Amino acid sequence: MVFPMLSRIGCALGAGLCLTLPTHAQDGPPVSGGTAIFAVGSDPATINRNISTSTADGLVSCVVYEGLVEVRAGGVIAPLLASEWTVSDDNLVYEFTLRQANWHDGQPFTSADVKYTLEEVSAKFSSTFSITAAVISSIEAPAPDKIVVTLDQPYDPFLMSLNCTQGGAILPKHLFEGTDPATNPVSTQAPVGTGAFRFAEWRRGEYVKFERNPDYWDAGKPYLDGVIAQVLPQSSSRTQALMAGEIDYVASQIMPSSDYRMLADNPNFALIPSPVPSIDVMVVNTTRPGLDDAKVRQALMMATDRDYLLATAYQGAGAAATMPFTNRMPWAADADTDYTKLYPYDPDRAIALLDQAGLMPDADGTRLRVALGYLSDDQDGPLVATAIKSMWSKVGVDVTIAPGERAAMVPKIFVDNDYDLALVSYSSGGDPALGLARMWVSSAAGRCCGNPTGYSNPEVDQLFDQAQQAAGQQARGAIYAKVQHILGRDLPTLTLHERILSSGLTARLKGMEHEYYLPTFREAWLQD
Amino acid sequence: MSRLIVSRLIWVLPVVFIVLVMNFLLTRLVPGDPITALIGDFPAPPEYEARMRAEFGLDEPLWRQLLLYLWALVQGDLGYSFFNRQPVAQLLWERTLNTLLLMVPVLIISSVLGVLVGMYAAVQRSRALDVLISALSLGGKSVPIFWSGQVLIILFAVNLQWLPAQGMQSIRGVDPGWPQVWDFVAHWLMPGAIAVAFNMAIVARVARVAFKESILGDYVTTGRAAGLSQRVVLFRHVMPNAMIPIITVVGNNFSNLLTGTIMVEAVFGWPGLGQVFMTSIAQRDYPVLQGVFLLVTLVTILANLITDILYAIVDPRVRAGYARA
Amino acid sequence: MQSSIPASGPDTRVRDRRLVRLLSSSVAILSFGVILVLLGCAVIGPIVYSGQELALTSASLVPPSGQSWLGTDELGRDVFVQMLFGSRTSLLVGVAAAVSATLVGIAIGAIAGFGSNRVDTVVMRVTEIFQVMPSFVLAAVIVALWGPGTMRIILIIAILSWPQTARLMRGEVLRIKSLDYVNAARCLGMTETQILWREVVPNALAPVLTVGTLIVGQAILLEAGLAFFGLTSPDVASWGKMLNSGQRFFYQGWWLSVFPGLAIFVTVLAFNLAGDKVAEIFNPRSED
Repeated sequence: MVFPMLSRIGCALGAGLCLTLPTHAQDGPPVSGGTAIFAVGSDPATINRNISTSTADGLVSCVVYEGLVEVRAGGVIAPLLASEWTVSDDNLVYEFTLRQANWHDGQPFTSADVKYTLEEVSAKFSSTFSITAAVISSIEAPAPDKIVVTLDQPYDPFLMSLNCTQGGAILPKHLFEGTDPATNPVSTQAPVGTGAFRFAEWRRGEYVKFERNPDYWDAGKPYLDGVIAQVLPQSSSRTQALMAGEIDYVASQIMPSSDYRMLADNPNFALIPSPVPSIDVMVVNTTRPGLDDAKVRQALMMATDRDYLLATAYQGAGAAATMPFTNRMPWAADADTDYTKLYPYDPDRAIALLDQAGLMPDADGTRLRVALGYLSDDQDGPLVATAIKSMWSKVGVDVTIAPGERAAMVPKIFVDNDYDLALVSYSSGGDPALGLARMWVSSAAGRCCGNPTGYSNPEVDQLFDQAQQAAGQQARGAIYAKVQHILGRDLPTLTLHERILSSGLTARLKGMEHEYYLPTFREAWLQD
Repeated sequence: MSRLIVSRLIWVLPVVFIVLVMNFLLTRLVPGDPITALIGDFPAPPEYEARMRAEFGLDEPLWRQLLLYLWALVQGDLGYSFFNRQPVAQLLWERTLNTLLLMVPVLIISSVLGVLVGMYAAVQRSRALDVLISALSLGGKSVPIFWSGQVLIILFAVNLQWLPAQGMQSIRGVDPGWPQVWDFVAHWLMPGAIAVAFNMAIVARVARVAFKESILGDYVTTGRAAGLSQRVVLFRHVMPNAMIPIITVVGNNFSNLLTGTIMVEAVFGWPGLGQVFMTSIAQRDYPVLQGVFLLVTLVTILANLITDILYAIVDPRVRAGYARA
Repeated sequence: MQSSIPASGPDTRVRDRRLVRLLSSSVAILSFGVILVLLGCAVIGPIVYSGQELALTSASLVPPSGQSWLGTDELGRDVFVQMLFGSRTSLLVGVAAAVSATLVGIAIGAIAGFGSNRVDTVVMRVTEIFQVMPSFVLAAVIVALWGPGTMRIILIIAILSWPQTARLMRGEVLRIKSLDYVNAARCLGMTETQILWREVVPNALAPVLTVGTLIVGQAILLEAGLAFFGLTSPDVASWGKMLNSGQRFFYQGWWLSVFPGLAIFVTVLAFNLAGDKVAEIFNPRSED
C-alpha cells in the first residue's frame, strides 16, 4: 500500500532532503508539438481528484484540473491558479489573488468557483482535504479575483493542501452547483478544468485523451499538443510498452520496481526518483499470544536480515530501515534508536531472547507459529515474505505465508485485526503528524489505514499530540525522538525498508523533473 | 429437430436463473466489499462509508439485494457500475465487442486449422510426421500464455519493434481506411496467434484421434472396395463420422468465447471483457460481475445448444435418439 | 472392428499384445520415460535436498554455473532445488486434478448418454451450470474462504474440468450406443448396464483419455495462472509460481523463467503424447 502524500516534504524539513536536480543544459530550449502517452493501471472511476483518492483517478485528474498552488519536486510551493498570496502575522488569514483564466468551456474562472469547490466539494468529499477543512473557519470571495481564507488555528500544511493532489483542485461552479459531484457527468465522463490540457476523448479500457488547451493562462504552455493516458493493468506490460516506445511515462506509483535497474542501464530511458518517501513495515498483532511480548518482537527483528532483504527482495532500491520512522527525517531521529546497533542481524541473540521469553522449541524445533500476510498486488510481497520465512526458520519460528487480495485483506488487517503479521507500506507524509502517527496512536485503531497492531500506549499517544501542537521543528523533533525511543524498544511495528519509488520515462520526454506526486505535463516536451 | 430445439430452450431459463443466483451468492461470499476498493488507501470518515453503502444498496440484507437485482434484470436493467459510474449494459457492450474482435477470428482459424491438421496427421503415413504434428500442435497448449506472450512481446515488440506490444489500436491515431485495418491486424497478430495456438491444440488432437478411428470403420473398407477415391471416402464418409468429438471440442472452445481470453487480454493489454472482469473482481464491482456472468452464461448455453443441434445434423442417429422420447 | 462379443472377462492375450505394441513404440517409451523421470525427481529430489528448499544459499540472480546448475533466483535460492520441489506440486496438481475430473466426467457423461432422455437432459443441464461457473471467481472464493493450498487448487481444477470430459463422453456414448455391434449385444440379451460398462465405456475411452491427458497440462497451467494473479501461496514451490515470479526478472535473469517454462512444456507434452499412444493402442477398434 502506498499512501499518497498529505504534506510537504522538502527543503524546509532539512538540507538533506533538498533534491538538487541535474540541469539538462544539453537538452536545449523546449520544443513544441508531439503527444506524450502515459500509463494508468486501470480505467479512472472518475476524473475528479477531489472526490477520489485512487491512483488511476489521480493520474488523469491533475492534467485537467489545477489547485490554487502547485507543489514542485523538493516540496516548494509555487503559485498556480493563485498568482500570489499574503499570510497574516498570526498565520490565520490567507489572502489570495487569482489569475485571469478561463474554464475549458470558455466561462471565466472566478473566486466563486474557489469558494464553491473548497466548501461544497473538497471539504465534503475529499478524504484528504477534509482534514484541512476542519481547521477552516471561513472562506470569503470579496472580489472575482480575491479569495480570503480564515483558519481557526495555525496549520502549517494549509498551502500545501490547496494543490490538486490533496483534493484542492478547483472545479467549475457553473457545472457542479446543485448536483451530486460523485455522479455528475463532469466527474464521470467529461471533465472541464482550467489546466494546460483539456479533455478530448475517453474510450473505456483503452485510453483517455487530452489535447492542448490553446486558451491556457500561462501563455506559451503547454508545449505538447496532447497527452494520452493508456490503460495498462499489468505492471509488466507497462515496462514493455515503455521499452517498445509505445508510451513515454510511467508514474512512480505504478512503475514496477523490479525494472528500475534495467531502465537505469539503458540510455534511452530515464528514472526520476519520487520526492515522496514511504516505509515498508511489518505490522504485528500484539494481541496474539507470543507476539504480545516485546522480547519476541525484538527477537524477530534480530532474526531479520534487512540488508539481505534490501539487496534481494527490494532489488537494491531504497535503503534498509534504521528506525521506526523514515530515515529521511533526521530532525525527528533519536540518537539511541539505531536498528543497526539495537537489532543487528544475529540469529543467536534472537534465540536467546526467545528463550528468555519462554518460547521453547517443541518436538519439531519450532518455538512459534505465525502467519505472515501481504496484499497480493504487492509485487515485492512474496519475495520479502519468502525470505523472512527462510530467515526465521533458523530461529525456530515457523511462518505460514498468507497473502490476500486487497479488497479482502485491508479490512482483515485494519478493521478486524484478524492477522498475526502483515507487510504493508506507509507514506511518511513528510511529517510524522500526518503520515506516521496513525500507525501507532490508539485513536487510529480499527480503521483503514491506521493502527492495526493493538498497541496502545498512553505515553505515545500523548507525545504525538504534543508534537503536533508544538512550534518549530527543533521542539517537535525532540518530542518525536522520545516517541521513536519508546517505539524502537516496544516494536509494535517492524520497520524494514525505506522505499524510494521512481517514475520511468523515455529519455526524450523532458520537463518532468519538477512534477511532484501526480503528473500535470505543464512543462513537458518531447525532444526530436 | 425443432423438437430438440424447443426441449433445449425450455431449460434455458431455469439454468440461467440457477447460475445467476449461484453467482450472486458466490461474489458476495468473497470477503471484502466495493466500498473498501472505492475509498482506496485513505482513512475515510465512517459517515462517508455509510453514505456510499446506502447509495449502492449494500446496506440491504442479502436476500433483498438478490430480489432487487433479479427484479431489475426482468425489466432489462443490468444495473449501474459502482466503480465506473456507468450503466453496466453500456460498459459491457463496448468490451464485448472488443473481445469478439479478438476471438471470432481466433475461433474460426483455430477450428478450421485444427481439423485440417488433425486430419492430415491421421491420414498421412509417416509416423515421425504424425508425432511432429502432434508435438507442434500441442506447443500452444503446453506453455503458459503469460510467459509465451511475454517472450513474443520482448522479441517482436521490444527488440525487433515489428509489432505493437499493447492494446488493440495505435492510440496516437492512424488514418482511417486501410491503415486502420492494418493497424488492427498488427495489434491482433500476437494475441491472436497465441490464442489460435491455444485453441487449436485440442481440436487438432481430437480430430486426429477421431479421424483415425473413422478410417478404421467398415464403411471405409466398403467404400474403398467399391472403388471410391480416397478423397471422396475421406470427406463423404470419414468426416461425418469423425465430426461428433470435433464438434464437441469446437463447441467447448466457443463456449469459452468470452472468458477464454482473460490471460491473453491481461498480457497484451487488450481492452476486452476479460480485463473488465479481472478489474471488477479486484474492485468487487458486483453489478459488473453479474453482468459478465449473465453474458457468459448465455454464450455458453447458446454454444452448447448449437453443438447439440450440430450433433443431430451430422449424425441422424442422435436425432433418432432424441425423437425416441 | 470386433465382430464377436467376448462373453466373459477381458481377453488376456489381447492385452499382452497391446502391451507389446505400446513398448515397441518409441514415442511411448520416450514419453513414459520422461514421465517416470519426472515422477522420480518429484519423489526423490525433495528427500535428497530435504530442508534446502528455503535455503538462501548464495548471491541473488547468479547465472547457471557449476555451483548452482540452473543459477539462483532473485532471493539467492538455488533454481535447481526449487525445480525439484516444484515438480512435486506441479505433478501432483496435474495428475490428481486430471484423474478426478476424468472419473467424474466419465461417470456423468455415461449416465447422460446412456440414461433416458429425461436423465440426459437433467444431467446435461447440471453440467452446463458447472460449465458456465466463472472459474476465476470460484477460485477466488475458495482461496479467500479457506486460503490457498495445493488440495484446494486440485479441487478447483477438477470442478472446472469435468464438464468437458462429460460432454465428450456423452457425445461418444450417443454415437457408439447406436452402432451395430451394440445393437447386436442387446439382441444377445445383455442388459443396458452390461452394455454400458462392457461395450460403450471402453469404446468411448480413447477420446476421453486424450482429453484427460490434456487436463493434466491444463491443470499445471491453471495453477500457474492462479499464481499469475497472486492466488496461490508462496509457501509451496511450484513451476507455475517460479515461472510467474521469474518473468518479472526476464531481462535480468532469463534462467528464472526459462527452466520452469521448459519443465512445464516437456511435462505437458510427455503426458499428451503418452495419452495419445495409450488411447490409440488400447482402443479396441484400432486392433486388427
